[in-house]
Amino acid sequence: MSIESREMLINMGPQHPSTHGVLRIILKLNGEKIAASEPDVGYLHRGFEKLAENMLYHQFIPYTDRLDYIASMNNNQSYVIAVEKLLGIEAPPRAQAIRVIMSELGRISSHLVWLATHALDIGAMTVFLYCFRERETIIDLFEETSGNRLNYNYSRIGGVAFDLPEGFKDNLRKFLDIFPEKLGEYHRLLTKNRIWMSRTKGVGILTREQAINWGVSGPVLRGSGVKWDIRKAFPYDGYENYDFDIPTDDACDVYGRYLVRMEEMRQSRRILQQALKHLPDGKVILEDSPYVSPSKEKIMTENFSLMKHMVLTIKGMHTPIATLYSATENPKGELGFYIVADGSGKPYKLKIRAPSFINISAMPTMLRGNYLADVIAVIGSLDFVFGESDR
Amino acid sequence: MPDTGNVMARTVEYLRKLYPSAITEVERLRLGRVRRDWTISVKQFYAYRILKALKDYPEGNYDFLVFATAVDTQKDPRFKLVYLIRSIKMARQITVEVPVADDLPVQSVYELWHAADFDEREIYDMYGIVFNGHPNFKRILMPEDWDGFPLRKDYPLKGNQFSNTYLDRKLPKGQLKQSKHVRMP
Amino acid sequence: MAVENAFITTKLDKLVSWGRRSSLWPMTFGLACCAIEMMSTGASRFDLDRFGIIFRASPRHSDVIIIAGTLTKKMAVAARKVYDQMPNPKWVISMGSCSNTGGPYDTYSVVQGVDTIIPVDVYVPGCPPSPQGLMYGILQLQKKIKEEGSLNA
Repeated sequence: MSIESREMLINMGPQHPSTHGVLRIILKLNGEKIAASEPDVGYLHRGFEKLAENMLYHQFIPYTDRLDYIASMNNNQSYVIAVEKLLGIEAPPRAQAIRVIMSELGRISSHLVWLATHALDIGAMTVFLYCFRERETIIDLFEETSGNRLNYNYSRIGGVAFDLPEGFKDNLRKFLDIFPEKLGEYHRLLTKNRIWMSRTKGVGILTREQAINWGVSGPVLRGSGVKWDIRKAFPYDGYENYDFDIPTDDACDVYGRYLVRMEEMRQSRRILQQALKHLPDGKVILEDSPYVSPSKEKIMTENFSLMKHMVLTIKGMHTPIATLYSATENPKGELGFYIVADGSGKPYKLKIRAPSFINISAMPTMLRGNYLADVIAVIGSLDFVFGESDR
Repeated sequence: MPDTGNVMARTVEYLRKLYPSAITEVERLRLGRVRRDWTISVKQFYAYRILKALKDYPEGNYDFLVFATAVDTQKDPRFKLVYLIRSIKMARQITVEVPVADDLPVQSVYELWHAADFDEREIYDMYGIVFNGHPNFKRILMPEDWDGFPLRKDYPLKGNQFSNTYLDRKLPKGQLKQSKHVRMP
Repeated sequence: MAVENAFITTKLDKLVSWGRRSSLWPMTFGLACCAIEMMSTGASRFDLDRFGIIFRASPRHSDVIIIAGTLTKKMAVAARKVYDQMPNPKWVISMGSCSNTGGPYDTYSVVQGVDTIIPVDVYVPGCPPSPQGLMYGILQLQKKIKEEGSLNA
């Protein structure tokens, strides 16, 4: 008796609970094994780059929130740093430290969402509930700082919108005190769990050479054993003053990337502790810069400030004629902004180098030869967000 | 901060030696206190060879393609391809700009950096520049039957006739109605 | 305590609607930012299970679809297909500014309001709406089912 064998095409998505949004993958199966796969993105293409060409520099800040909406603070920071570099200004030390605090909190909260959904997809429901419990604490900190739960719009060109609220430092300290214990809880649930290990070890291999060649960044790159972090290589916002390690793992599989992200949360806590300890006093925004709107009080009382504010909001600022690429290390990877400025108030071209977009393109390499059920594990370990990937 | 000038100068010197007439312009601009990476403009004829030479640069391979994109310059030639390439070993990056016309296909760099896979498809999707030698060349962000290239400067932000009637053709008749609200212009 | 031979008289519609509105099973249709808030609503702090709401991944199991996030033209075709696959009676909650009106994305690729392709019962405003907002929207939908009945829906 002979069994006819042939390849089968399976369509997954764009509506699938574990694709973390709207990814569609076309899988070519050989039995249970994946012979080839093709990711299809673009189901959330909202036209960010076209929008950016049609609006003033500071008008685009709220849009950057909605790129990687799990870590909005980091996107704000990334974009305003790019514009600040273009203008040749630098935020005051206190504003930089606040941004570091916010972006590291954002990193922890993003990794918590990753761990929650990754574990939920593989079948560990409890981790989901635990992670969201801690995430709500961070969200509360963000909410009392910026007024919103998800899209914060907190950074400004030349600083941040307002100073930290009263009691923020105590609340943050409280969170940092309990966090290691909670992190230990997740480790106890997963790290030595036999089901977890058999679902993740040896799955979704991306070797060091492949990782570099595919241009992946962030924890995926570090999970393949490449010691690369923008915070160390091209420091911004005073990251050179903080003492932290770059975790890497040579396993190159889903489990390795899991360990890298878990360790990153611990490192973020270290940075946060240092930032809290050495938080400088002073202004939170450059007030005398020609590119920054004056405070509300000045606008209401001084004629010159009112005029300056009007010019900045209606016509925008005059930028140098230059092109520039600036990148920051986001939870998902390297988020970069390539700005072509023509001297007017609007960017002539703004390219967003989205880490998720590039990381998805490496997925067929990781999936080849794995089982159909491993697709979900690989998707979870890549941790992409479609607002950013499709732009 | 390490001195970037020397490494970059050596890189450009190396390229000049290999292809004397390929590089038309070298630009290094400083904005404020911020270090800026070097930008070289390369003729399209030499572009692939220059990029390959950079990838195999002996001192430290430029083995990481950060991104590839295009700019609609509205001049002649119309487009400019931009590649930003990084050497992870040296922690340096260099921008390569290639002016191209919109009707000539360009050699794909997929074989050098697989990272160009999605980026080149996106350039085609948004600007309509065609690449030769790409293994799976088609639209990526927009639907495959889309007409027009949204990031070209002559494409309106709010869409044209095609994009506004796209759903009328795709969805069952009688379901689609105009939105109830009116947008500010 | 037990009452022997107890009975209640009611309209069938009322009984059925009571059952339906007490266990609304939404279809997870997370598209963008709002999906994260939808997840938070279902997670530990806000706990949607209290309302008898359990997220289902299949349109065949669900009574209500929560459109959470920006609907693009590429996705609209799939969204309509998912809606058509849901069994009657079915309801739609449009969550967030993007799915209500297109939100800040007045561009070539975004559908300007999900009500252009499927009928919407409840609009929840916000960018993104807070979990409390979404819960209020769900309660409004329950109220609507109570008042309008569901046998003829």
